[in-house]
Amino acid sequence: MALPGFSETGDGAIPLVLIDRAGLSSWLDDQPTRVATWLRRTGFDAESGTWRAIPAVDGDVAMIVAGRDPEDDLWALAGLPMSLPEGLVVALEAGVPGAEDICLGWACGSYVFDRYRPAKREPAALAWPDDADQARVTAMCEAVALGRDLVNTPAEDMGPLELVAAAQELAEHTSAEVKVCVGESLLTEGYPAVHAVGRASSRAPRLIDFNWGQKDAPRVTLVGKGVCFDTGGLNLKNAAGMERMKKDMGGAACVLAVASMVMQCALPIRLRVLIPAVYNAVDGNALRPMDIVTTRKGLKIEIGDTDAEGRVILADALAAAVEEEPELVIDMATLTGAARVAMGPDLPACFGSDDALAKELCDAGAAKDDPLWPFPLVGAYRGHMASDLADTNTIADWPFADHIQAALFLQQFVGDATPWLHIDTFCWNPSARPGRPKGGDIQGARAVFELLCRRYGEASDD
Amino acid sequence: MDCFVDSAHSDENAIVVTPVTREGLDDWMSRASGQQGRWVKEHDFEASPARFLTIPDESGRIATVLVATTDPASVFSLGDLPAALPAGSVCRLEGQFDVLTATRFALGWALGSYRFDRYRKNDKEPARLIAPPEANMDRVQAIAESIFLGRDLINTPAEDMGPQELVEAVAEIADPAAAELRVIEGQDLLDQNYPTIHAVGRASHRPPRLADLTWGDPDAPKVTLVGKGVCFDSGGLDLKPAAGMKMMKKDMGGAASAIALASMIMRLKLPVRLRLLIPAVENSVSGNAFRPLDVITTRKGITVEIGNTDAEGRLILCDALAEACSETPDLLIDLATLTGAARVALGPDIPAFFCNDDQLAADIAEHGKGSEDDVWRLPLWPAYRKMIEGEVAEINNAGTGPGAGAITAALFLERFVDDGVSWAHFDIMGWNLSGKPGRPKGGEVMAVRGLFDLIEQRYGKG
Repeated sequence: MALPGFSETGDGAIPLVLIDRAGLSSWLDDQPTRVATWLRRTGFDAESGTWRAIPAVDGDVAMIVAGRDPEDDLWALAGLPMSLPEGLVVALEAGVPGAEDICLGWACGSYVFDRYRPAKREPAALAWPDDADQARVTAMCEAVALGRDLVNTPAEDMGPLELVAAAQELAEHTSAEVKVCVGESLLTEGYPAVHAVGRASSRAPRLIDFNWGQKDAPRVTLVGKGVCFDTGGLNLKNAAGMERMKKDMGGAACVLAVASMVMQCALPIRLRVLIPAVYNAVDGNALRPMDIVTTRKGLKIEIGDTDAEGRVILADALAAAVEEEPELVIDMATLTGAARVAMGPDLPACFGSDDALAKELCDAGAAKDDPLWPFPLVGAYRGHMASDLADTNTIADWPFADHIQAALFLQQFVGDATPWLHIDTFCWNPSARPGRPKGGDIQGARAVFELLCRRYGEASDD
Repeated sequence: MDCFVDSAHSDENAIVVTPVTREGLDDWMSRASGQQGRWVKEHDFEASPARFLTIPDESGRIATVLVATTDPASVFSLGDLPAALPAGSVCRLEGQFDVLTATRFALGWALGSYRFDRYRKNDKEPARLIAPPEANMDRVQAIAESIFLGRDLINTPAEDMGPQELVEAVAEIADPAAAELRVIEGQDLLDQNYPTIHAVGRASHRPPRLADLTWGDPDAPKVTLVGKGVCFDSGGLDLKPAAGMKMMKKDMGGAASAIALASMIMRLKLPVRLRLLIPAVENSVSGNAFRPLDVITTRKGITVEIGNTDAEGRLILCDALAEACSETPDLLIDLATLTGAARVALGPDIPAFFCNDDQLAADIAEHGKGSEDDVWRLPLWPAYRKMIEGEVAEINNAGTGPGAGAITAALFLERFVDDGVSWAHFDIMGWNLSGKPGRPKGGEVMAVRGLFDLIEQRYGKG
């Protein structure tokens, strides 16, 4: 598949010359007067993301000069595909450092969600640099596009069934097996909490169990929250809170994207992906506040708020995940508003069963410009989730640190024996930045993939 | 201190307090009388954290109190006992302890004996402990009395703890240490270029002030503490609702914490040149109150647009931080009850801190953990600087979000700290919402014991 924003052949490419601020002045001194004058007169200061077209004598574009940030290969040029003239093909100079990151940023910046209307323009094309691993970049950006598409698709077209279809489609290209447990069978197969949250919807809840890789390879299990739409249930959200709730399956989109990266790069692991896919709806049979649900693990949970449903479906999925004692369990979820209040849109909160593991993930994310910030599992806060009637409540009795409370809740279903990472992510860009268009995104997914690469041997250029 | 009896005191009626670890309980049982052993078993006492058990002698009096501790000993092991044991009783610690452990036990005892009795007498005198001979009682006393002072300042209602009274509290610690204290008041703040402190405090009939204390060898490394002293925060014209205003007598909790830390440093004579800066104001509503979208030219010259009059803490801190940097301290620490977002991020019990020096940040976290005064680092996230850009001024005092309110507040302060100054900013609650051993409900200085340990380690003991 040809990747949007890239030219396979590089035919007709003009040079894309990258200059950083520090090197601008001396570089200009070496240029023909015509070029140097043009850049000076047009106020080019090599600020990251800015560019100038250099005219040829016949008025054609002879060259593009763009500002780069030596600290940020990934995003510095990611705005160019949609700001350079349409139809232009550009080629990096041979040997430009960071070519692979530049390509990935370029690809992310070429992304358009065009399911419901055609793109306003085609991205300018970058000729594949010789030293970029084309297959790897393609794998990464196809996964990013997959994740973004899933999040951006409105809930009407992205219910539990469609989320299953997305997983099945991903599996088709590989040797992955997908088992799906639907509706009533969730009760017989031991996923009562998933069923309880999803039962009020006309679109039946499902559990996706996706397996890939050699059976004897190290087992890694990813769990993604797949709430295809979150009305809040009987504790109905208000309009402002409900508006973006098509994105509440962002965790599922993230783990499917990671799975795509893992499979395309043939990482030597046994991968399992568990996605509880539900629609948190209001109906006569909807789960009620103060209902008590017996979970897969046997722990009884009291529903403090039907809008804290993500942790409920994850509880069963995490319990299932640890049953086969994988080396590592990672869950990703658009779980709490508190994580956003704390960290804003850019920084998913992450929690680790031990500090070193959380640091490993944060380091991997920092290296790949997919940052996360670690938070503590504060033992002293467990008491705030006590239930009068059941083993635990689903929410805390105070308005603080809900992301920590949610992580503490999940920890009960993971237990002490399995190394575990929990990522509370936003899966949305509230405003556009280079390479990150406004709308759905998969913050944290590339960090997770990098962690897996570092652990399980895939060579990385960092 | 009232909670201790001199170690020379011998009282054969003293209640014996015996700290035991969970692991050490069997050993204690093997030496206990049959009657005592039965009593322990009958009560299912397993030395789990924060538990204690009173054991009768044959005459029905309290012979021994077994109290759970850990290895290493928790500071708070004995924290419940002063209030729980009979009024007026004298207790004696039983066992062989090293200096560190005995000092911790004594400090926990002291911290647990605190009562705020300014407006109402204690119903019950706390039990007293014969000072353990191994303990460093000078240290215990200096630390505990400094903390008591801080708690008293926070607990005192705003009517009796205005800017003048807060400055008097600084004088109270300055005098015995022969520290120099300069107070700038009212109109003089304008004349001496503290325009932002004046702007925030000018609407109150109790004029704003800046307390500036210096102590120690002028050639010693300079350590500067800044504490937010908003004696009451009505929110100003952006008036808080009743629920948000209720606790606002505690909005000088940063000042109280900084005063407590300064008191420890001076009493234990750490080899530093200490400076303490306390901007003390009341954020009131009046005809001359500063308004939303006013622009203030701060002491540093940076212009600030007022996005919200209720984000006043960072305003008074900015002039103090600018002044602090004028003498390039070796270490600059500010403490402030600054944002609700920090409470959402980490809950009320764990202060958030921000630091421009990674090594210092690691040391702060380590000493916080070591002294059971936990703090957690959040990032000065550069990408969020755009959230505090002003429309008509250089910066705005209210972050635009979405989210990240504690981070944007810290980024605001960062603008007033000179490059090269090692700086840490603590966003604290200043309040215990519920009582815990050694930490009674109400006003609390936070992060301070950890910071004292850090400063002592960094610069040496007194």
